[in-house]
Amino acid sequence: MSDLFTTFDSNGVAEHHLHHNHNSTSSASGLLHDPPMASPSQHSPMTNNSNSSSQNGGPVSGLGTGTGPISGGSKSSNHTSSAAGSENTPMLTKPRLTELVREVDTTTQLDEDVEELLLQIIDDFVEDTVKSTSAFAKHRKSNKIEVRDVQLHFERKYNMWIPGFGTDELRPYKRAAVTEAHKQRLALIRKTIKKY
Amino acid sequence: MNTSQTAAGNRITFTSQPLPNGTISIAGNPGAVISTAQLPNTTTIKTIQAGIGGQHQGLQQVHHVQQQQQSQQQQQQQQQTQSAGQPLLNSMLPAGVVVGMRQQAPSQQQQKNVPTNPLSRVVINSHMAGVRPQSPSITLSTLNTGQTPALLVKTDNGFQLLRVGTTTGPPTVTQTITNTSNNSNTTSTTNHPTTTQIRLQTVPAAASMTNTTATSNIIVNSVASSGYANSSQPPHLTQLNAQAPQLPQITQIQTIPAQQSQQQQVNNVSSAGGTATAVSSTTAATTTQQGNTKEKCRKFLANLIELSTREPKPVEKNVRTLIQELVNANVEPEEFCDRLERLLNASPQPCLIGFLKKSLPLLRQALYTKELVIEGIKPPPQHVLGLAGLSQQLPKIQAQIRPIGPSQTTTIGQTQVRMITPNALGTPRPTIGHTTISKQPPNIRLPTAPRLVNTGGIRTQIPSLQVPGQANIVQIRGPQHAQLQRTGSVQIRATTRPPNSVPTANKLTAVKVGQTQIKAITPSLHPPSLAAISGGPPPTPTLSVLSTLNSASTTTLPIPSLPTVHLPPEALRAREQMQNSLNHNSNHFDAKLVEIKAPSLHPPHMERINASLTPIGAKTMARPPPAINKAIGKKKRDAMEMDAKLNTSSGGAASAANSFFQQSSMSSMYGDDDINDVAAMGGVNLAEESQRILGCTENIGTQIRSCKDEVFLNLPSLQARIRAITSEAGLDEPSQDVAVLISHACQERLKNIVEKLAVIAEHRIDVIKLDPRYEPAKDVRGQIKFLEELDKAEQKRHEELEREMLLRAAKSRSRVEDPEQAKMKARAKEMQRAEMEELRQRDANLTALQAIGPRKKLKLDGETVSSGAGSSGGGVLSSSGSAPTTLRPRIKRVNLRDMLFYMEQEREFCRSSMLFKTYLK
Repeated sequence: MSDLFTTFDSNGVAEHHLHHNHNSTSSASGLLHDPPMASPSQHSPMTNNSNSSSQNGGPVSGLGTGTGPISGGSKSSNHTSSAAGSENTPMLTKPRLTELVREVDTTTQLDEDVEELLLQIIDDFVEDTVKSTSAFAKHRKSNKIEVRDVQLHFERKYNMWIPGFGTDELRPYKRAAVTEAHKQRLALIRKTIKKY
Repeated sequence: MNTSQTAAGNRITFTSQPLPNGTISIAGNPGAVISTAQLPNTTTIKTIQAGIGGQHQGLQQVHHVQQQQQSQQQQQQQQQTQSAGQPLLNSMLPAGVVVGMRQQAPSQQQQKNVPTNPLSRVVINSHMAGVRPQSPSITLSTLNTGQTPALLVKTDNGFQLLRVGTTTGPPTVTQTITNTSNNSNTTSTTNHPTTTQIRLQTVPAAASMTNTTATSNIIVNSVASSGYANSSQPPHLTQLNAQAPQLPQITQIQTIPAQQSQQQQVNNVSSAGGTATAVSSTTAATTTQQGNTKEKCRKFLANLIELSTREPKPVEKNVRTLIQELVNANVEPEEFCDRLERLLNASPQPCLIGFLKKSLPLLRQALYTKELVIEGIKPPPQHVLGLAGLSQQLPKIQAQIRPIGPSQTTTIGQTQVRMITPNALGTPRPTIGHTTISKQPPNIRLPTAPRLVNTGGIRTQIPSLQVPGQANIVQIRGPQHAQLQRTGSVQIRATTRPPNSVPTANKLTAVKVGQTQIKAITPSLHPPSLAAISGGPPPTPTLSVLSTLNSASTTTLPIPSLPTVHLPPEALRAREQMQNSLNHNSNHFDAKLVEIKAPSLHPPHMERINASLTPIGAKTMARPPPAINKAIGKKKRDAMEMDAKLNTSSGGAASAANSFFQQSSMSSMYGDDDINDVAAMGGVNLAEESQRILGCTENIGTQIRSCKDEVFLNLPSLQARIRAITSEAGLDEPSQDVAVLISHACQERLKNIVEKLAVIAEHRIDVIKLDPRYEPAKDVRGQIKFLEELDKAEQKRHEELEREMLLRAAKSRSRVEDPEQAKMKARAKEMQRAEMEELRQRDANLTALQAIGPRKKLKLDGETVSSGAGSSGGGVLSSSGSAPTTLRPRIKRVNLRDMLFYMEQEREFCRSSMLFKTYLK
């Protein structure tokens, strides 16, 4: 639910930016070209939002059609800017994903629906990571995200530890915190199993 | 009772001859009647001769009587002081003195009273008590005159007969006594002049001298008749011991006729010709001789103690201690005789030495076993007996050595040489040369005084060594006398029975046994000499003993093998006894025994030479040579012992040091070996291990990455995205490591998700019914199908019935105007039409399919694939239904359902917007 609200807010902000962009384009040509470089980065969440809105149900479709002409305008502007650079290329492509899947299990194949979902999950993963690490950096009163911030995030949220980066210290085995009550229950379970 | 019997015997001896014979025969055995019949004839003849001699010698007898009376009074006083238990004898003696005044009258009266009643017997007893003083007068008169031996013989013969009858019960002995009396006349006449001389000398001497005179008498007899003396010596001594405590002077006179009578016994045996009696008498004599030797020695020593009591107390104590030392083998018989001479101021007694050497070992054994007991003397210790056992064999060898050297020899000496010569060949010559040469000059040079000084010093320095030496010396006499006795006995047997070969063979075998023993011992001399060189004397300290044990174990190994091979079992037993006497232990102690034997063997060599000299010296009446020989021998022993001690002490110190060094070196060797062994046993090489350790330390810092770091995501696009987000937050762009780390994290996360999806897909595809653990609990589907089939069957029957009715109605041609029948006919027709149409359609379809069969099949396959690929909901269901049947064994396709299942299970996605959007697809 919180994510949905955040998306609506982002849509509003996007609209304001678009208005400013149109005004600037109408005013000057040379200087206006640089702001379009910044604008496609702003438009990229717009495209995502439009996709999600299209995916949503029928009652939302009216709103989607309302925003349609705005998104169409942005698309045209994007096409013009994409010719200049390769920044719009996706981080992960489907062939790369299938290659990874084959590494895990040679007999497994993913349907297209599943592949799209996995790509979406990765995008969300990256965005979430960068935001949380930014918060950690600010908390440290630093202007720059460091490796240890990223490692801390992964360890606490995903229980992952990726070696080979940053500090050379060898981390000891992390034992899960087990309560005394839990131990007693396990003991009872073992006794009953033995009896059975 | 014994004292009364002896007194009665003494009285009887002095009374007339025929009466006591008759009385004894009646009181004793009935078989003795024959002997009494023979006796009166001889007695009658003798009495006539005695009467004639008595008349001529009246004056001389008076003088002798007076002297004897004085001596008797002195003896009586001494007896009163010694013991208060003899008042009866004291009261009897004065009555005897009174009766003594009447010399001849009571004897005549006794002769007359022979046939009278028992009252006359009582009278005889009173006369017998009074007769004692008469006997010395009679004997003295007989000695002085030439005709008196007849009287002496007569009275003595009668007396002896009575004594022997009372003391010994068997009648055979009495017969022998009677026979010997007849033959003794010739021998007694020849011996008279020598005996008279000796007796005159002894008369004025003191009480102690009387014993010495008795021994001198024995010597004379032995010299005169060598053959008979051997057999007769033991009974002489026994009689001396028996008679001495009461009246020594009387015993002196009585002993001489006893000797003569026994000699006669031997002659009578040969002349009589009685085979059985002779054999039995000889066997009895031999057994009695062995017992007599012990008893003689015991009585002799006991008499010495009693006589010493008459002397002052210090003399008494010295005599007792001297006898105790003699019994304990601390003093030699020669030394014993010397000390007695000094203490008692007596004359030399060389024959006593031989007697003691012969009888002491037997006496010691008897005292130790407590067969015999002497008052005031303790039994000897055990080691003396043990040493005696070993030394029995050894003295024979030394006896062999002495006869070969230059020395005066009598007939007896020559006989010894003959016996020993075959064994002497085996003896070592250098020892003979040393002993013979070294001893002769000092005999001439040294005076008497330094002899005494040297002997005293040597005794104090070496008390322990004297023990085996004395034992050896004592036993040297034993076998010599035994040999002499054997020769004597052989002569007797030859004279009596030449044809008897059995007893002579037995004795010859005995002699051979002795020779074999000697031969067996000879090889043992060599190894102990070697041992003596290497080892030391027995009284060595503990440290030197240990050192000798170590050295002896190596050096003396070959030595014990020789004696084990050569020695007979008797010698081995003796060695075992030695081992038992010493500590019970192993080979080292055996070597120690060898060492101990070696020094002990040398002194017996010297002592044997001295011992061999002593009998010759005694025979030639030469006293100084044996003392000189003793002193010289002891000096040599001291020198040998001192040299041995010095060698052993120096060798002991050196060997101890060597042993300590060896121990230290051995301990260090063991320690080193242990450490090395541990490492080797562990399979570890320390040098290589140390090198490896250093190598490991060197390689710690360097580490090489084995594979290239691949980035999963497109790095530029990733960095652009990161930059955008950080710029919104107001931060600078992070380093490249952050991007790489995020890409690796994404890769790891995708791998985890894909693994889970694969498992979920496989689980979905899996056919549960094929699992062997699957068991159907209920079959509801089957039941429902069955019910449906029943319904269908029922419907079919119902329809068939209706059809049959209609057909009947249609076929029937009856014209009844019924509306119901008309309706039924119409229905039947309609049914027939419908059936015909259906049949037509079926035929048409079949023909059409046959025409277009393969194309239709291909289309069906294409439809299924397209439906699976489609994204519609119906497509999904159809694809899920068809997939397991067609693609299950090869490919697992992960579909949207699997993804939804995964997202529902995960904590991160279970309430995310992504899940809900997926539901809407």
